[in-house]
Amino acid sequence: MLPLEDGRKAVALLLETVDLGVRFGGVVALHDFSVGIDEGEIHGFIGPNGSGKSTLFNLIIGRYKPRTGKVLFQGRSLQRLSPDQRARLGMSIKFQTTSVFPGLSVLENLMLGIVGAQAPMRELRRKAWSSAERESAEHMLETVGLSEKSDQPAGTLGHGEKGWLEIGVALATRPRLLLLDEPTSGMGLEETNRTIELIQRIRSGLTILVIEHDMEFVRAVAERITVLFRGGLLTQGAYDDIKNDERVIDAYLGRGREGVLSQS
Amino acid sequence: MRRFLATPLGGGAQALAVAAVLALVTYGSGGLSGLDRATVWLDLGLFALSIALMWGYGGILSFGQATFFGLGAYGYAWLTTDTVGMNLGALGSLLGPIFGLLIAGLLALAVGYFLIYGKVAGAFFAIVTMALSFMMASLGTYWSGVFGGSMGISGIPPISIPGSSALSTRGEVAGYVVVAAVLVVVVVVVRLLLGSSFGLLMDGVRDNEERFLFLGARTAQIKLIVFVVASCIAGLAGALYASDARFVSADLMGNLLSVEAVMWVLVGGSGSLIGAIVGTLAVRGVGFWMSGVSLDYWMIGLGALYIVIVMVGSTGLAGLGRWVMDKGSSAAARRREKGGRVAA
Repeated sequence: MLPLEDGRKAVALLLETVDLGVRFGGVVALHDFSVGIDEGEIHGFIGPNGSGKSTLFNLIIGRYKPRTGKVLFQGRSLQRLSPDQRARLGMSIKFQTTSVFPGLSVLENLMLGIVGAQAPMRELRRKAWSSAERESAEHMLETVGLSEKSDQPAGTLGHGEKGWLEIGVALATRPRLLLLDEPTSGMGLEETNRTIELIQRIRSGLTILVIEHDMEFVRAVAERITVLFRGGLLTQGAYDDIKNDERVIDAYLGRGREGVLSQS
Repeated sequence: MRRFLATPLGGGAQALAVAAVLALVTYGSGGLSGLDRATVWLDLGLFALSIALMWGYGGILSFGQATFFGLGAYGYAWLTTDTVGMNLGALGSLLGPIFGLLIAGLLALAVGYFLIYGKVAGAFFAIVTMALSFMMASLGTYWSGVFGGSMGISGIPPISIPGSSALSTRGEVAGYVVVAAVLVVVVVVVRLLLGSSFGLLMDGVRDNEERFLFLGARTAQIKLIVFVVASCIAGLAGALYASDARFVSADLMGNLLSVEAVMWVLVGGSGSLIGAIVGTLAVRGVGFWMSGVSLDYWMIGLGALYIVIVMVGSTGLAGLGRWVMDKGSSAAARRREKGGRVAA
């Protein structure tokens, strides 16, 4: 990427990690990790448990501070930015362990996504629920398929519904980058299919990073896949390249076993 | 009816009703001295309301709010007595509540900034604010030039209008009316705050602060505003208390009142402003009545009551009230339904 004459970069990459690394105690959770994410793509991250996928997400959103390297978002280093500042730049996450506002209604949950990032002092002088905000909350309700549960406390939703609500809340902030950490974990086949449909429906204008174990899911949504292994980048490519890669099969299954990955 | 009660004005009406009932009961049973006692209870009720706002709605528990209540009380005393040489007489008595509110708010801003932006939260916040309360009470005891030392400051005049004796001559009644009016206004203002878009931000912080942070919310700023607003109300309550009790001492900033006030809120139900006021009045009122019988038994009984409330659930008296209203309104709904069927 060459700088343009007016100083801006010709940004094709929305997100970039450069030599990113972090360790906890003596354990290296991620090391020398460099990856570039194109604007508009859906990028899958796979790898065995403990390979560093969630750590990578946490470094991007600012929950962890990297020990080495940096994260660039729209060409800008996020080094000194707090989680909420990063979110306001246009990134949003659905956590691995579903996290919504359990005591508030489904509609209020979405509303918090819409107004949450506003300056608090300004909100003091403003009545809640302007008609435009209410409309976009209701629109989001439809998108995630929870219109009929709009007044129900989020804590009483089913597992899958909570997951969709969290995706909706994350989307309500109007991010450019959406991170989904195992969006189908604990879901059955039908719920997984609905999640795939949801992602297809929301993807326009959005860049999505998704961590998944479900290979069918990854195949269905991700255009490019990065495989992590022991905190490093093992390989990268389209699904068909990845699934026959010996190293990937080894990493997932250990040596000497049949390639379950290629069964699909 | 129920909808009206949930509005800001409805809250004010409830507070007014509570104050009116309290006045009738205490005046009826104890005359002017009864009303005088009730005035102080109402000041404490306003203080409890500030804790309910912070804890029940903002999700911030502090065991040191008496620091701000006591500082507000001193603020009033400083402007109306010769302790620190700022005696402004009747004018001071009018400015005193505003001054008390402001200095409590400033201290809360300074302390809150370091604690909240320093990521002190949850139980740690409760403990650190408790330590603050302890420190301030000790400071007050030793720094006699400013806080009156162990003797405190006495001879504090009531609120009065300069050049007129209209308020001060009939002290008991006027004092009661002033605090009741302030209480009503504060309830309305706080309800407006909770109903604003900011109220929704408070909900987010209380319900799931971490989730909210990663949605881009300035959670620390939201919590700081809540802490400062609640502490301002505590300071205002303290200033009114000083004008009614006519005496302040360093224990007002101390641990006992800090913790006691949290208990009143618990009795009333931490998720209700009116509940906090009623809880305070209930504990204080029953305590006064019981202390005529046996103070020791009352303290034991009160302790047991606290334990029961914590174990049964934290909706307190407000929860009981809501339960009664639910019964009533569902009965009314059944009646309506029956009527509807007949009409159809």
